[in-house]
Amino acid sequence: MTGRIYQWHDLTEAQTLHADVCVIGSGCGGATVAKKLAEAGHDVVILERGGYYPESTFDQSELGMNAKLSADRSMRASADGGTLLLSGHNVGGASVHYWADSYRTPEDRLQLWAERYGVTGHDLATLTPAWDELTTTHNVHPATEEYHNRMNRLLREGAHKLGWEGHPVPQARKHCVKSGHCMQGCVYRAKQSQLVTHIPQALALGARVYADVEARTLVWERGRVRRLIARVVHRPSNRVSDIELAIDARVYVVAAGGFYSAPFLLKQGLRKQLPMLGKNFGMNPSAMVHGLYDEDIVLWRNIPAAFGVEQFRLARYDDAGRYVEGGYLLMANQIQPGLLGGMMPLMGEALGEWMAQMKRVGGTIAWIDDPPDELGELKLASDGTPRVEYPFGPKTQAILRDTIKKQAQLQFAVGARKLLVASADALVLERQADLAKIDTLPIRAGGLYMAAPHPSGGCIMGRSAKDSVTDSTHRVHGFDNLFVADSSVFPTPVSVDPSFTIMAFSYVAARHIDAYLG
Amino acid sequence: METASGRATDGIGAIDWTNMPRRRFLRTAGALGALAAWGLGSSGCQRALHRAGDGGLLLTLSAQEATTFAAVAAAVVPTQEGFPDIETAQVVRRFDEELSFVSPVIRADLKAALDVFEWLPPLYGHFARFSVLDRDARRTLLTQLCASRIELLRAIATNLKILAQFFYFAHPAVWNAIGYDGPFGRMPEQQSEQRAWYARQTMRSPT
Repeated sequence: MTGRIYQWHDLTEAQTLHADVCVIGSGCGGATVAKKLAEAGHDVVILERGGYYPESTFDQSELGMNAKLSADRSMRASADGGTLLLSGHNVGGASVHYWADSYRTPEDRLQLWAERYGVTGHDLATLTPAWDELTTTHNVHPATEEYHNRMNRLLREGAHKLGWEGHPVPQARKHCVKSGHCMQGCVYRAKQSQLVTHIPQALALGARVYADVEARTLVWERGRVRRLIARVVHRPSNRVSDIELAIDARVYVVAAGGFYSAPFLLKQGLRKQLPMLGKNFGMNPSAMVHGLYDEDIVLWRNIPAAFGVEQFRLARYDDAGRYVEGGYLLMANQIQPGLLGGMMPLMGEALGEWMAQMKRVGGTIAWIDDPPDELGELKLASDGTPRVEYPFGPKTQAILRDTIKKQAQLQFAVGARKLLVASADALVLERQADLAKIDTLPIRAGGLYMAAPHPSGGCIMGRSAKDSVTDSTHRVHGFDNLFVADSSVFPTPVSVDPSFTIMAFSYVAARHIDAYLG
Repeated sequence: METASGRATDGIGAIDWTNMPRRRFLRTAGALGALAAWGLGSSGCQRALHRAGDGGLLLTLSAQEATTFAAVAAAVVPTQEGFPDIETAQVVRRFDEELSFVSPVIRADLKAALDVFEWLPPLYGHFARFSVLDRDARRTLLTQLCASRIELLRAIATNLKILAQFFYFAHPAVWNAIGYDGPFGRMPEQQSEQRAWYARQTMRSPT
């Protein structure tokens, strides 16, 4: 039995679909759970709001591919307008534009989730077989020397000089040609996104994918979902049509991604029954520092994050509980000219001076590990899309300030002539002594130029409906056949790139759903 | 208007700009802008044309919004020799295209932000709309607003600036000036259904 992908032009009239499982979303969570359930012999339907863009439609154009792959063309910002929210919007989800970093969840984070939040059945021993299998299917391996571009080598050199711990980053790639276009989708099928792994594997096992379909309303019957009503999206105009699909399934899995799963459930009116819905939202805001060097860096070629500085992954506090340092991963930055130019806090001649030397512009970026007691909340905007409220609390501010300082310290250590903090104040640092200026940099919404690519929470896993949205089997509290399988179940951010954690968690979700289906 | 210390001292009656919720701020400021535009009789006649500065038809932006965005873009992009202007880099047209496909709330916010921006200069001591200020004045004002203590003004200024620079530097006409050798392998564009649809829509005669 072989499934197929249906697109907007195939869906010209209302119809009812029947399946064992209906999965909403086709990214790392949805595609993985779909593949595992199809493998177990279940009839699976996957719905995806975005389009189906196979490699034949990729052209590595920064704007063109952003339009095809990114939700709202990367123009959605947090409610304060200060942080750009990045997520996927296509078959394969964000994995099609991600960097392919594939970290196993640190054991300290799994323990935190178990001890503080009551998560069970997601310990290292349970997840390791999943990661072992995924390591094979996604060809995950540490980046080898040839995949370290100049900026990654400088990052490594700087870390060694400063005595900071770091390692080559595990990569999900096969025969990478070093194009530098991970964020534009990989034409070469080298990056092992869901588009070239779990989606075709699920199709081969009979799953059906419906692209250009927006899930809208769950129809309830005595604590169970009886039906899902969806609408076909007219892809050329990106407007929702009046063509309705009804999906009758035994199980429904919400895997719309960290920015969208909680808002989807909020739209179903579940907030009263699930007071934690939308809460504990993290997003890994990323602060960056640009550097001007006396040598060519060519930031836009080869793979983005070959080397990672892990020295500061966990925040350190003193005995009195005061923040000392850390709470982020440091990476080499990699962005093509549009995004680099956009993230330059300069204008006019000053902007021209930097961009005219773009070959010599390097840079670093840090994914911060949002502090658990300063997380944000997902709500609904007036048009039913996500509204992200993020507080930038005092610990978050301290972490951001520290990472900017550490990025500057490292880049000066490897010979940067001048640094430019991606901040509204366009802070320029020309020598080590200038690092003190970072202490007075305003850290606030819109004060730093940041993007947030790694959402988590909103449907967190835990003990009961009082403290969480799902139980440890991924089932939504109080609803027999409704599950969640994506980063929204994480009680806190992962502290590393979340894709490998999402996939391993989806293995666990699939096992519980399989048991439920019998 | 902001004082030297950065504390906001609103220039319009008793409106508390600092603490106003975002949506209400946009609505209020947008309404004030629209009122001023109506009073001056300036915006209405431009809106009827519904064209960008390059003469092409726009799908989402009004003529005034396009003019304001063009004024932001022209203020932020480099002016050294070798850098093309914003018309060559099709910055406004691309913004109009991108805006045509995003969620309604994002589209509405950015359009309102442009309306606000156009009418902010009087609060900062300028007796003119943003788009008719000279470039130096626009840059100075943008710099002030990007670092404003008022969260919403920061957000509006920073987001418009980022978008203008993003669309500018992503355009092939700019790559020679920045030493970018183009996408790997220089593949031809694979036009999406949405690009084709936008092109068809904007080829229609203006209304």
